[in-house]
Amino acid sequence: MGNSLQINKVAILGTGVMGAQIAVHFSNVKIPVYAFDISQEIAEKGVSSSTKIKPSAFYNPKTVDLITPCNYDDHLEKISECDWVIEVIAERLDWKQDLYQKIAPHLKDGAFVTSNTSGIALSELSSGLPDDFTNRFFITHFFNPPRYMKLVEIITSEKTNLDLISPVATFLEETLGKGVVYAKDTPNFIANRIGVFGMMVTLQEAYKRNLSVEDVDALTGTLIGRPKSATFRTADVVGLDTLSFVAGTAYEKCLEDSNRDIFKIPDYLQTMLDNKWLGQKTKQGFYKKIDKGVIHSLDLQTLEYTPMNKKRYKGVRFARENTYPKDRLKALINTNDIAGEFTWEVISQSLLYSAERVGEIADDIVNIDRAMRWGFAWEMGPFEVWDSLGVSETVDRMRATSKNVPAWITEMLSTGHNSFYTYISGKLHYYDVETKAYTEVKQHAKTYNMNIAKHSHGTIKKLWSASVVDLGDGVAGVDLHSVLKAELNPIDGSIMETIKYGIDYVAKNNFKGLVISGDGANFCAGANLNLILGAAERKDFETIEKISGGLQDLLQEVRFTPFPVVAAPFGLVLGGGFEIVGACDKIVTAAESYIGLVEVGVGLIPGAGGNLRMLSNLSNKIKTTMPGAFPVVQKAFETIGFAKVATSAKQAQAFSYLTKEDIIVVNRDHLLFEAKNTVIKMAENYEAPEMESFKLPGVSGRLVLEGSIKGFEKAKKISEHDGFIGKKLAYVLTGGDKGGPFTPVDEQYLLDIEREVFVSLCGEPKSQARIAYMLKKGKPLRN
Amino acid sequence: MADNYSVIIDGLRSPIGLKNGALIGMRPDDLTAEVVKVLLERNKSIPKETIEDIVVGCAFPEGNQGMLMAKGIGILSNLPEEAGAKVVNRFCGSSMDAVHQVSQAVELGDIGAGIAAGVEDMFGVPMGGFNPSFHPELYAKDYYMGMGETAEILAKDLDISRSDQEEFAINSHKKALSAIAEGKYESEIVPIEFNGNTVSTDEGPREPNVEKIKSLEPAFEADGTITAATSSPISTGAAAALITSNTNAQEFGITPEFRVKSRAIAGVDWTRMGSGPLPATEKALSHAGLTMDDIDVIELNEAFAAQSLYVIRKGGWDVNKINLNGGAIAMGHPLGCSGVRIIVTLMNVMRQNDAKFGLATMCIGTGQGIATIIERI
Repeated sequence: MGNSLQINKVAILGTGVMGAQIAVHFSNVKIPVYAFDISQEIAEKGVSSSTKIKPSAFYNPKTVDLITPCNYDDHLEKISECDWVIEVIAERLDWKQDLYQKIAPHLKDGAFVTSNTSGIALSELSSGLPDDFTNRFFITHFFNPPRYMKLVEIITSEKTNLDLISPVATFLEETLGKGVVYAKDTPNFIANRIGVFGMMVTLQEAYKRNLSVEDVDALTGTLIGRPKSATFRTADVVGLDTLSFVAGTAYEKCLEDSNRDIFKIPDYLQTMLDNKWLGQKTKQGFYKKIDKGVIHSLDLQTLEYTPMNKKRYKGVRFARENTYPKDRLKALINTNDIAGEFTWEVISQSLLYSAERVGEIADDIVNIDRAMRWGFAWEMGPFEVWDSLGVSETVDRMRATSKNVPAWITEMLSTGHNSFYTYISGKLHYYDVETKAYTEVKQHAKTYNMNIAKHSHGTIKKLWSASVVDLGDGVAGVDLHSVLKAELNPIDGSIMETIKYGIDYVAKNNFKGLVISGDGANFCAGANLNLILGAAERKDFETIEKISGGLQDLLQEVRFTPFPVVAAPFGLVLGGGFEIVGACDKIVTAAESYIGLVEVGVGLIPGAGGNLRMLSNLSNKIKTTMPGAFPVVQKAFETIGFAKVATSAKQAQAFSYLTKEDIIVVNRDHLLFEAKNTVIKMAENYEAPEMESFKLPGVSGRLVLEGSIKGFEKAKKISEHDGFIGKKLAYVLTGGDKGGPFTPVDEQYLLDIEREVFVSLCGEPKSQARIAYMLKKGKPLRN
Repeated sequence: MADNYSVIIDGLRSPIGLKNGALIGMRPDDLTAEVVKVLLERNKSIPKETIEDIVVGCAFPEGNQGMLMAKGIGILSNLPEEAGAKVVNRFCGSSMDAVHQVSQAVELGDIGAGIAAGVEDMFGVPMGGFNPSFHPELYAKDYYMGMGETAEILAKDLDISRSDQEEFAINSHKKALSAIAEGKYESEIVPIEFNGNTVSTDEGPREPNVEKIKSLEPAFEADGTITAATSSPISTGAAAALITSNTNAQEFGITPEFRVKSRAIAGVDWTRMGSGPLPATEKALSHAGLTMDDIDVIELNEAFAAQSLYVIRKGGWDVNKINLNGGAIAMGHPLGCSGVRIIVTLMNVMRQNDAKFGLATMCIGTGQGIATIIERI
């Protein structure tokens, strides 16, 4: 990379919630930070409170050592050590400009300064500042929480030296794992402009129809590919003051906006602001926690908190018949009931508002779609949603309800462009408003996914829940896309069949190797519990034996193939998800992976090699010469027994789900690219791993674990059934009846005793109750 | 021969360190050597060439406490290479046993003088060691029962209430704090330099937070009475005593002050290991030809408040004679160190209270008790 940017040290000005978290994210990728604030005390407090944020801002809390708290009085000269200075102070123009004046003399050659403002125009920020400052000054707008939200909006002025931008964008993408969107210098930039419009329009339409807060959230959340917190819950989390501030900015500054009135704060919201019902931070907003587990919602008409009462809507029922959010949205807006009509109104207004903004807030639809996906965690941006609903049908319906459709869309349709996006010779193109033609979507060179691969190289075999995809360059991929639950990919027969097909295909066609991954939100959250519970309740243990044994055998085959199989997990990687990953020859994982063997939570133990993988990883890591290797077994026991889930790939290494040899990729979009390259590299001199054997403690070590289990039980730190499962787990991990310090056991023996215990636990009524509870409530039962 | 008996010339100890304290990370051999060096320095009238053995008590002699740590401590404290060294393991009674062994050897004339020491770095080596392995038959007999559980059994046996235990623990802290304030520990503690800090007081004793003590969850049994506040904390510490015979001492022109009057060991039901001091004390008294009334002051190792109260109540002991400067609940109980530690403290307390006879006794996991009677001559 000729224009690569070397960032060795960064200064963050302002250690509030956002500043501190941006500092933390630099520390996540091992870049030292000076975190400045007006006093040493405030800076230190800001940094130390960043360690308490949940979900954690840190990959590994130890890296807080890379952040040095500083103050402007004593440490200003440290600015001269920094390659990048990011200003993240309160939204006051005078304060910001004073600060720029203060730091300007200390900037080293080649260093640049960015502001994280969300509300002040770059033109205002730059006014009156010397050229030597403004030419290296622009806006990088991170989204909260910056570790998890992908979006960074870049806004430049005519004074900014544009040569800086491409290397900075590359750095943001490759090193910090962010997604860069180019916005114009207009109020609220892209994501907040469109996103807050969507929220305000939802508030307005809900109020008109007298819909309840909880019903609106049910309609505008995961059902249609939006975050779980949907509309009102999101507002509570963000803070109604913040939301109103952003809306107010649009109202005051977007004088030309024909929808400007939508941004006006409705009376009931104003009353809430006056009452300081600001959401989570004041413990009440649209929702209020009344008691442990009891949450009431606000009646928008009476402004009283009342028990939640979710209504049943036909539209929701129809929507739920579909697996994918885009199909659910389509079904919902086409249902003739209040839910369908409301959702149509909200969505169609948002789509039109976005369309009207093309050219004003961004050059093209791609930047708008990306901003909404990456900054508001929408599954699809507005134009992608529009495509999935069918552009011309939707436009017809808009016209029928006398909505104004922007001229450029009419023209697009009339010139035979039937969608905003299309694939041309395997490459994704978008409709460019400027040139009135399809133009290739520019991607980072490492951006790669199953969808792109399918369009450019083709699908080899498609089954219900997974496909074998040609990734190009002689590498095949298994793409997980469950037909049952696309967002969780529970392991079903078709996934197993696809993996088998994949390895056979690679062998037969002389491919270099295989990658197992997917394009969804999560890699795999484990076994198909419905199937297991059903069989268990029927006492059909043969089926359970086959599920466990079948997956064990398949994964052993994966492990010992004569070519490399690389797993590329991301998001949730739980239970069987980890067992698939653990069997692969190498793991190339997204930094945001949450890995854990959680079977104990559903009354079981890992049943497809999870115990074996943990023993293997830990034996290689701890490398003790102790006969019986108790520390190895103890660590495995604690990790599996307490169902520990790592909150980052870094932590998964500490828990030994991953090893130091596994590769962590910060940018999720680059994951498949890196995994594929790893296969190509490994294939050069590939040798399959050798079968391992383990010297385990046997009965003497097992009794030590049983002794601790007994202690935990007596102190009621665990339940009796936890203790029961714990003893079974101890049996497997200490090597069953054959294992002992002087009697090594092989992989197959460990798999056999693991399977035997797994099947027997399925027969336990309390374990079945745990599975049933998990399926119903989505959280573990502690019986 | 009747006139030849063993005497303790002097005893010293390190401050006892707790979790997250200033002594974490200090090697146990270094810690002990620091104490032994000062002990030798303070008692130059006994030439170190005459010290023939160093016996170190340690409950988990592995890891940084392994490799026959006693000889290493001898070398680190500049004992002559002619001196022998051994490590004794009798769990919590390890270093009291070291005192017994050196005292016996001196009395028999096998050695002229020796050092009895004890140390435990409970952070460096976990209780149970690094590679524990249980015998199935013993496991079935509850031989490996946790210490807290054995104390719960004693609490139930005598119906010792949680609030009585808490009062006992609070008193332990209060006594220790006032002893520290009055400088009563100064003559027995060797200040330790580590990581640029000088540690010269025990880290455990603190003003009890009664509200917090009352709010703690039971530590070992959900419906039990024992909490973290009424148990001795995990800790690190070392102690050492210089022992010779009265005749040997006289030869070097010393008038010894403390005589090892009697020694005793006894076994008990391992699920009630905390009762061990009772039979051990009985034996020690009988060996000495004394009765409990003759004993002026007692150091009873406080493994748990419940266990101490069991011994006190069952034995009908006078609580006003016990642990006048506080005990292990306040200070910590570094297993292998505690035996010499309480003998060192006992000698101090005897001097401070002008006592004639003192008793040091402790319970031992696996079901034992050990006791030593000291006479101030």
